[in-house]
Amino acid sequence: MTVITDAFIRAAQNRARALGLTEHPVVVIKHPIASMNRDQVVQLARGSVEQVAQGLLAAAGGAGND
Amino acid sequence: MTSPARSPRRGPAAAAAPVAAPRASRLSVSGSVRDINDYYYAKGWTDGLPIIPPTQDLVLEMLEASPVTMKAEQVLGRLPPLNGTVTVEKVAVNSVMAGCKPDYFPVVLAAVKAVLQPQFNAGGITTTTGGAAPVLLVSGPIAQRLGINSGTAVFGSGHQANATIGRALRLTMRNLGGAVAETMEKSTHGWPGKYTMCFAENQPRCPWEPLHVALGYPAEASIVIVVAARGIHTMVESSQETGEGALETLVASMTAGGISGYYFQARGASPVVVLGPEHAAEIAASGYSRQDVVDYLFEHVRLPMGVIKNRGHYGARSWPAEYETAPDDFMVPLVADRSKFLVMVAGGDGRHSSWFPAWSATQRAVEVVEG
Repeated sequence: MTVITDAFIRAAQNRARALGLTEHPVVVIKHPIASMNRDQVVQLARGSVEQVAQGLLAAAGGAGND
Repeated sequence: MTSPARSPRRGPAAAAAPVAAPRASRLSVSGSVRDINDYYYAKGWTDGLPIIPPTQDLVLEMLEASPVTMKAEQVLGRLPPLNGTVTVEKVAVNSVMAGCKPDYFPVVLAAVKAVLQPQFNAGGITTTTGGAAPVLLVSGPIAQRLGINSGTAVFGSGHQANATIGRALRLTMRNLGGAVAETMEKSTHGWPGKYTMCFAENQPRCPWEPLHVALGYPAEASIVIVVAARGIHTMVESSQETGEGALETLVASMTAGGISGYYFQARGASPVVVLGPEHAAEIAASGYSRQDVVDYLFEHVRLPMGVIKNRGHYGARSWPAEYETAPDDFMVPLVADRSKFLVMVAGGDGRHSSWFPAWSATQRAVEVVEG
């Protein structure tokens, strides 16, 4: 499970392909984040948390597995 | 390459056969040299400058200059970020394209092997926004033998060995590692070291033991050191009359805002300080050895915590844990370990010195040049 900003989509896809991880779950957020304040980052995280959870569950073997 | 390969005139393989890979594929491209260059450029195989078409004869000639222990199909490793398989032959192809003379090939191979060392982090160097490029430092008798410039305009143009050895490494990183802008290469700016950066220590004007000897190698050995740098920072000191004065001004040039090394010490990157020969002579005349200069830099190239806190790369800092509770008057060193400073002598006349700010998530890599 990897979170990337949209500036790095192409690089991330290429790298995943090179590693044979074409199904690796990725959540894409808007670039840039380094200049955001804490509240903005928290808001961004809340907006992505569901996708991240789904990605982690998928990486663990599929949604619904304990 | 453009047509079927013959086997180079080589001795028997080493007893323990190294990993081998299929030979490089062959292409047939017709037209003028300009047409072939246009083709290579359109394919994304060049750095934008013209290349020498890597015909089978030229590649073969390059391979014949490789160390006796190496065969064309030998795998040297997989080069991140795209993990292309690096063979001796493929490095030879890129060396021909770069314009190398065959005599340069052992140095190119040593540089490629250094870049493949995991701690160098070739993948990170390519993909960072921080503009890192490999800097090849050559120390040992081979530098003079090949005519690697160490004197006037040492970082500049006009010397075939400097220009093409560094370029061969960069083309290898491009074509086998995927160091291509907008796909894997993500530098905000980058710098001309992305084309080439290779030079040697100015041994005749170095007041100390050779760099490779200082690093523990025999005098007769030749080594390539590869560091990842974010650019070149130059300084002039033509007013002070002592070596201490030159060192003080050098330190002042290394204690500015926005230098990422202060925030990323945990990985052990190496800033490279290149003393001009006149500064080196003045510093030596003031009683400093090369190690004394390293010690001086470690003690003085520091910034107060209160100055760097909440600036630069503070939000992504990676440094010794004890810094976290240090007061604002704690002097943060540029490197946590003094041995990370590389001090060398290069350049021509004039009271100028330079330093290469290290990109941070890397460690230098060293390879002996095989004969």
